[in-house]
Amino acid sequence: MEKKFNKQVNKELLIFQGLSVVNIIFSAITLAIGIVFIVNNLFSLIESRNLIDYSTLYVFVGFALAGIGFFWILPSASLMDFVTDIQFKYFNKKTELNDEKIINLIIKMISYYREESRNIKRMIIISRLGGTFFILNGIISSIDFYIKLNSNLQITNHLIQILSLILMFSWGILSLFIPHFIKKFANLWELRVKKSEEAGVIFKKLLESN
Amino acid sequence: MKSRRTQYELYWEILIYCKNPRSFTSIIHKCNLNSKIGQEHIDFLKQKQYLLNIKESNKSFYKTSEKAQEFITLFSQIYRELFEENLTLVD
Repeated sequence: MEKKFNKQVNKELLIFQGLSVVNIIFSAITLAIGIVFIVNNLFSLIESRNLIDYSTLYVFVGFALAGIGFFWILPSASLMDFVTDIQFKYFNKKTELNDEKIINLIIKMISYYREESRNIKRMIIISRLGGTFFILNGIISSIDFYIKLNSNLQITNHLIQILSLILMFSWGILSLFIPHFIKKFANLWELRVKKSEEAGVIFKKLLESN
Repeated sequence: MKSRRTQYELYWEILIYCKNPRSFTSIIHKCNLNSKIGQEHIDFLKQKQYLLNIKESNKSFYKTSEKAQEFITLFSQIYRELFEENLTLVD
């Protein structure tokens, strides 16, 4: 039981940790790109004093990205905090996992999911939104790039722009991929939470029979 | 760390912790409960004779009874199964 449990919990924690790390990285990138978009384009917008410009669109995109990044980073950090806390408390070399500690850990994990399921669901939604935004922004930037291709820009500028487009599309696709893994685990925990609530009927019966 | 436990999970935690005699303060501290909720749970477990009240040198302690073993065993068994089941979903 102990070995099997250790292996399984470690596997789940590792994947949750990986997901939280990836989510923190992506949310930080989203936040940073959003801020860069706002700062860069707001100044050129003020200078040009022309609202009908690409800069206006980029400022809006920047605010949207910064908002998504900010709200995305909070549940990601909370998940990371939970995972590292469990790893520190239960899986350090000094701690020996006996039957009671195993059940105690199961309770901790189930009750955490019960409390945080909303945030995890929000992470799934925001992850998808982030991915969609990156892809949309990639498309807009591609159109912008195509238009600028006709002008006499240096080849290095083209290369930088192509690289940034590739990165943007890759981020977008990855951000859409992450929720797929989170959802898989969220479904499993959802099932555990549901079964733990169903088990309440059995405990109630036992307690009432006394 | 935030968490939301069911009453049965709390009963299990209290009963496991009280395998050795414990004071009321240490129970609510260890199980992270407020005194009102803690008192309610302890009263319930006392009423079910799962917890025994022991007086030692004018101090009151709570200790898990033999009778509580049925609940502890059932709870542990169900929660272990809960974790082991449906693992194929993520494999």
